[in-house]
Amino acid sequence: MNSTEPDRRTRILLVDDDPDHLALCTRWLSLSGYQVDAVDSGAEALARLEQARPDLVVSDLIMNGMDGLRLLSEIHRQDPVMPTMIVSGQAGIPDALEAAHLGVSGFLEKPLTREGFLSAVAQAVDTTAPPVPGAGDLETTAGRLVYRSALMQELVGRVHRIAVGSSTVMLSGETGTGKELIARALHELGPRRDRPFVGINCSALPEQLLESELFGHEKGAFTGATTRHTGLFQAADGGTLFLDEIGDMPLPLQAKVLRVLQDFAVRPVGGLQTVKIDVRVISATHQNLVEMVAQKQFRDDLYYRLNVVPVHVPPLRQRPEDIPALLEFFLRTLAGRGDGSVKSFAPEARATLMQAPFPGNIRQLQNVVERCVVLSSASVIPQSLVVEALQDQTLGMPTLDAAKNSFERRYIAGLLRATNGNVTAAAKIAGRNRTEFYNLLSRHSLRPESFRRRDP
Amino acid sequence: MNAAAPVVEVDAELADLIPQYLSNRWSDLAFARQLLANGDFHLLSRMAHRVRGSAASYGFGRLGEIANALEEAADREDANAVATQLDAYDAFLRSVRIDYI
Repeated sequence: MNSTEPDRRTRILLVDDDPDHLALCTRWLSLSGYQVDAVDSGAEALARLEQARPDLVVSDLIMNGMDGLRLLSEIHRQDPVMPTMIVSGQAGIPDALEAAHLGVSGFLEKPLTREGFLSAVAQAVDTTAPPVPGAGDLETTAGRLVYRSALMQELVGRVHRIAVGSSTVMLSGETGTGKELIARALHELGPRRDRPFVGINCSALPEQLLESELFGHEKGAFTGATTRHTGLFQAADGGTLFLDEIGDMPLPLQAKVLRVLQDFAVRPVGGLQTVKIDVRVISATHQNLVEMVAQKQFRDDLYYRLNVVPVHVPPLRQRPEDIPALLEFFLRTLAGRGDGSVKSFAPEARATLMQAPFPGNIRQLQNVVERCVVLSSASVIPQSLVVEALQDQTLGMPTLDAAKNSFERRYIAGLLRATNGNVTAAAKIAGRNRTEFYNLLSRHSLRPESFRRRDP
Repeated sequence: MNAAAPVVEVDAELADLIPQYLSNRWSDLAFARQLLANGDFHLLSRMAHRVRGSAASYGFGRLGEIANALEEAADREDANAVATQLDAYDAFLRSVRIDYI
């Protein structure tokens, strides 16, 4: 981000009991396009904070009445992730340490230079300010795509342009980069937004089930097919079908999907009639499909049919400038979900996160933040906890919630397989009543009918 | 009087703030002389500290140096050194010429 060209909407609350210094900093910030609220005491600053939330508080350290550290401590008690900066004429090491503990984003010594001051302010507000006027985070019903990097701005611009059409899109990118959110955005920004968005993970189901899920089946098509089942291609008619992990689709099924994409018609399993469909297909993979095509693991004709508009989602390591905004977002989301009070990262902890490799990308970052929030007893998360969380992540340990969730899904799927999709029997084994069991099925998007199989 | 009048280059975008800034420094000087007469080195030090913080930020580097020496003298409770620095402060304010750039 440019260090001296702020977003004009960025609001700074300046606190200094030296009127000359206050006037100078106010002028510098105003000239650079910031909206400045200048006050001469901590008490006045707290009063202003009740009226409107600034993007950054810059306070002098030594002031009559409430000093800067007490003020920032009070601010962080109310809003732990508020970016704050201290300016001081004679900061001792204990002050600097206390400021760091309070999660202060910057510590500047007087006298200031215009360039140094503005650069520090720009850096401190970087975590909260939208990247450019009018281009905020990308909101979808499945979640928010949080970014600040030029790389992602470019991608989001491309998503906006592509969304308006119906062309088939192939999303590539590593696991955890946000491909599903991009798929959602493509659907919700486009003309099909009022029609269904249907997603399926092609790696999660065995071939026969995947086929039945995609194309549907007629009643009696196979043993266990006691009712007619509408496939996802039909369910997404007029809307968008998202085929996640397309690289894991078994080859025989690839041929059938290709036929649908050529004819824009599906024939349910066991059915005689083909049904016309109008579906925008978005597929995604973390695998190298070109290589898979070369090795005959993926059909080249299907690849070309799917890869009409390729969109690559960059890994987090190529856009570390997105990390601060992601951290703030996850901290707030976690607090909002009631997983504890709003916490913040100590500056060294933040620096460690900025430098971590994150092979699991944003999903891994989210797991690390979640783990730190859960394990930290203090409101400011220390560096040691971040290091520990990163090490555990490297060992491939999921969070407890993620592990529980994964176990629950596997357990219920196992029950349904064992009972041939009989909900009453499965609920009984699980020790749950039918209503509770249906809630569990809904939470994990499991359909009992998908487990009713043909007799061997 | 100083032999050479100090010339200070100040950002033209701050021009309208400068008269008030210099007026406040004259007030400081009068107050500082009173503090010295009263032997209130603590307040003298606080005042000098504040000037040290703002002077160079505005572009008055030399004034910042004088304020720094004044603060140190006040901290040592060295009345002669304080008086010397207040004279230097006075001379600076009388002779300073500002170029707006």
